[in-house]
Amino acid sequence: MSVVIIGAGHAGTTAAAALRKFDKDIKISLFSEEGSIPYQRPPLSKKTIFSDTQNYDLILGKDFYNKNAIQLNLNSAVKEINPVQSYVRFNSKEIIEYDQLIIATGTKGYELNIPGGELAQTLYSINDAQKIAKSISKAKKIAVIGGGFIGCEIASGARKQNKEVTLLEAGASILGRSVAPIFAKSVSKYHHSQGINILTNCKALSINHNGIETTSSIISADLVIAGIGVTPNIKLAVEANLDIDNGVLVNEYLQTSNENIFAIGDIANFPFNSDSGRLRLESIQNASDQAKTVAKNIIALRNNQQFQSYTPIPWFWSDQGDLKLQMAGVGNLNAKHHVLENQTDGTLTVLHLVEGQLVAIDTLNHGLNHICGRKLLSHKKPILIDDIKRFKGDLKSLVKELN
Amino acid sequence: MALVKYILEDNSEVTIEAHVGQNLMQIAIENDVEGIEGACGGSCMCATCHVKVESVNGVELEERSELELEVLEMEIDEVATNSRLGCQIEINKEIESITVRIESIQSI
Ligand SMILES: Cc1cc2nc3c(=O)[nH]c(=O)nc-3n(C[C@H](O)[C@H](O)[C@H](O)COP(=O)(O)OP(=O)(O)OC[C@H]3O[C@@H](n4cnc5c(N)ncnc54)[C@H](O)[C@@H]3O)c2cc1C
Ligand code: FES
Repeated sequence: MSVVIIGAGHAGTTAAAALRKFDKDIKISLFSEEGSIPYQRPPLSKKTIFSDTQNYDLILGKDFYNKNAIQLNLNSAVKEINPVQSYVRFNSKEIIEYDQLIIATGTKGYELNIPGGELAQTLYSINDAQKIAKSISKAKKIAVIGGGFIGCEIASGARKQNKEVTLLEAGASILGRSVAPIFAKSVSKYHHSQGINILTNCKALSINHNGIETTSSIISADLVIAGIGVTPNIKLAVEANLDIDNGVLVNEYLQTSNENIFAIGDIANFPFNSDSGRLRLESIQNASDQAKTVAKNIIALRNNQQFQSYTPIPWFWSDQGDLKLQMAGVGNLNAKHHVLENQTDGTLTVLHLVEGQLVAIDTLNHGLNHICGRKLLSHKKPILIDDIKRFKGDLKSLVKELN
Repeated sequence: MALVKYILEDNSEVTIEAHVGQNLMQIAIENDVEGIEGACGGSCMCATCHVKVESVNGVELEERSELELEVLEMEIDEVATNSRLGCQIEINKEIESITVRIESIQSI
């Protein structure tokens, strides 16, 4: 049996390792468009771009692939999936057949479509990170376009190195789409206190070698870095006629509209109890857990066993200066936000509530509340705000009572 | 410098000379020791770095923190008294050697 995996990011690589754990004999071929042994992306914006070493964090040891008979093909972009004859074409004309295929092609950063947009550096790969590291070491004034998690990490890291930092956000607040407004406000206040110049409702209009012209002012900068979000790499899946909608559509078993083709990680849009009934996540938790689920399901398919559903309690983290942000669950537009009372100084815990019921939790420098939050979110019965109030903000005691 | 011995799932052993300041999750990944994933990069959120401490020479390890224990309980079916998160055990000057058992790719 042969399994082909397209993309050696966190999802594809973990799937290869999990498949090997379950079955010593399957032929596993992992294709990466990149030239580096698979590595972790989260450290890129947290440390790699601020260091002068060439070291980076691998996902698995460099010899893992050889030792475990995983054929890792670097610098090998897959060019075509042929679902009828069950093969993929890579490089220009080489072909490999599969019994099952896993698409794990992730995302790519949006380009900045403004005059001079090409002057802004973007961060997705280790190559980008090493290039940005060189630029940061030389720069004095840095402008970061985009106040999402990655933009905030870059800005706070640069500020720690005493650079003059401006952070531009087109929306009304940094981290606007991702966390409770009151939480974002608190993070914003911290960055401000560290001396980052945050400009909200501010759009970049053009970039030149002196800086950025924006809707509110002209910002002088000798380095511009843009982190304005990503879009799923769906080209191969589209051409293979798989069902697509904001990524590749999969069922709860992570199977696409073709039963021998699965999709995992940042690219997979899976069924979830949300407003739209679906969810696509960009996180390590999701990549890693989907990889393990898909490995199980491919083995199950082979042995005619029951599939396992993917039903996550999503979680994510971000390190920004002295702040550790940890998010669990999925908020939505109708959610009300409640700040947990009686917390230690320097921490913040915000609950997202829909009709009084806990759906997500954001914590700042409070790992324990994050973990308790995940335990509450995974509880069989819905957790109500009244339950939480009864314990006066002590989530751990509530968890204990429920057990 | 300390000697870190990992006992793998198949009972084979790998011994590594580790530097002060590194934790058992980082050491395992850098040295190609199989079975530790370290998904959250040491943020104490995932328990894919679960190890069982078999012995320590030179000093006694500090107790598991409240947070570490919560993470273990959430992610691992049977938490043993010597269950630890590899990312929370940092090599310090006092540790001469430490032996831990890995239970292969975690939470599969
Ligand atoms: C700077 C940065 C910081 C981050 N920080 C965090 C964090 O703190 N916490 C967190 O949870 N998440 C974080 N993330 C997100 C996390 O890294 C992603 O969710 C995760 O990498 C997704 O894994 P993936 O395998 O689905 O996709 P990717 O990691 O994008 O990997 C996909 C791979 O497929 C390759 N590929 C695409 N097309 C082809 C083709 N045709 N042929 C061959 N190969 C192909 C791509 O080149 C890429 O290497 C961060 C991401 C970045 C960029
Ligand atoms: S690496 Fe995630 S808890 Fe240790």
